[in-house]
Amino acid sequence: MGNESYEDAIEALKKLLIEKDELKDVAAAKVKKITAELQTASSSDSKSFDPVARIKEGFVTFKKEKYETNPALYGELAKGQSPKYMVFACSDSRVCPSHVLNFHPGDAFVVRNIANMVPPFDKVKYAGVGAAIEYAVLHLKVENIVVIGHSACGGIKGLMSFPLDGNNSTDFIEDWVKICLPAKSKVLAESESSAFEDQCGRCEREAVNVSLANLLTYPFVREGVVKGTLALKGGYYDFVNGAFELWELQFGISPVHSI
Amino acid sequence: MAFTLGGRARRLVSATSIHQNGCLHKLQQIGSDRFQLGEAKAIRLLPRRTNMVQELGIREEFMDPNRETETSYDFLDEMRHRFLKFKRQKYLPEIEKFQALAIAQSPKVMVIGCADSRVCPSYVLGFQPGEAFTIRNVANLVTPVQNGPTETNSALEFAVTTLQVENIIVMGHSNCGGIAALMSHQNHQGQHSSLVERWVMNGKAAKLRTQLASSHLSFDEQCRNCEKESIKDSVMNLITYSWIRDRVKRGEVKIHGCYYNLSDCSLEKWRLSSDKTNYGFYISDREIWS
Repeated sequence: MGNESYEDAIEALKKLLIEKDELKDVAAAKVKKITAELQTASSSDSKSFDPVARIKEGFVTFKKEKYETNPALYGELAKGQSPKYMVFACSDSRVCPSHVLNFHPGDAFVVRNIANMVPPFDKVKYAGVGAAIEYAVLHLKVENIVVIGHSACGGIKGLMSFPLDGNNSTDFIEDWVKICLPAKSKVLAESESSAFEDQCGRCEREAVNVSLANLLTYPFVREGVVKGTLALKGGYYDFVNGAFELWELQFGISPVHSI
Repeated sequence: MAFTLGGRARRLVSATSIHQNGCLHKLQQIGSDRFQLGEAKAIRLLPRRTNMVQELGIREEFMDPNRETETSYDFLDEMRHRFLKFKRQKYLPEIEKFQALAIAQSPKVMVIGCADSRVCPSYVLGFQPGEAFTIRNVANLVTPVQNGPTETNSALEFAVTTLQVENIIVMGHSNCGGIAALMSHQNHQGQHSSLVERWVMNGKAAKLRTQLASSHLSFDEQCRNCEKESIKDSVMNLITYSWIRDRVKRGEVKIHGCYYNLSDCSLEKWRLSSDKTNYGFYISDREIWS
């Protein structure tokens, strides 16, 4: 039965493409996407995927291979944490910093949200981000805040596609991605004629810069940067090419010149 | 071979050997002003060696003046080392999977965890790239829809409506700094509340229940209870979002709560089930793994 509906679907697609040749590119992209989704989903087949069994297996493996083999580390961690880094990463399932940057428990205080954005300082709106930064800088005394963007980011794609003219089609998503509107404006001004994918790639990096600038609107971050106890870094994980870029927001006072 | 040195040269020659053509020759005097080159010994003249380390000082002192630059080099090195380890051990061995993932992600699970450095959900629950869409904030709090936009609910909306995840896990943990701040906060409404205190006050219902039920216990034990109560509240707040509630009722999305105790490495988990008879919800399938 399954085969028949598959054959029918393919036949219908072929027929449509004969009639409307111009749809071939769009169809190819969509088929490619479906194939990729099925490929990654096939290892955890939807009929038999049991999330409880999956996390049980994951937890038991963690306990056996990591927790029990390193009692000194985990004993210390049970008393407290003192990570050197605070990391902003995207919620995307493919970019967990524990994998990509090999962070172990205790290394990095990690906040993950859509498109790894940092909104400007506000006591009321998006206060959760402010709370996280305050905790990391004032209580944990981290030395670095790293904002890491990535390729093929759905949030940035949304930022570039939504008109953001006030008529929202989503409850919360558009309001959130609007935070990095300056990045979109910059990219459109600089490369209006580039392909959409290239524009998204540039915007993914520019959005990191907007977030870094927004970090400076938090008084305790500003103080740390001026005193030299806190450094702000930007990063970009390109999983299409298996590459990682790193840069820094530099702050300094130049030598004094008598004029 | 004999040669004659004239005039002043006679008085100046006092060396017993001369260096000619890469050989050291002994000089033999055969007359008052006549000399002969005697036995020759081939020598290789090496350039004078300097001990560069001693001249420049040890590397750290040499590099020192700019502390900022030194930190940048260390940071770059460390990040490079970390990323290359990932690339060698995970990315390249499974390149086909990563190439497929680069085109599209289709995670079946969404996790809401704490930003605490010790409790990364991927690390503790073993999720591999592509498996879990992850939100991390202070004290893994989910606020109800009536509180307005937060970074958490925009990510929830994306995961549920666009990615169409099938499972949502709220993962709390022991020794949570956010919950400790909540429990020690004195409830004053003033401007003196820090950002952390304002945020964790979203869990005040859990704090009140904890204090009512366990005020006789130590502060630490009360915090443990509050951590668990807060997970329940976050789970119930998920249901306030219509696009989650509808999917849970239709059986398309399952909600789980999970508490990781990092002192003894145990995991308590339970499921939120929907009660078809009176349209309510209840906790089921509770298990502890240790």
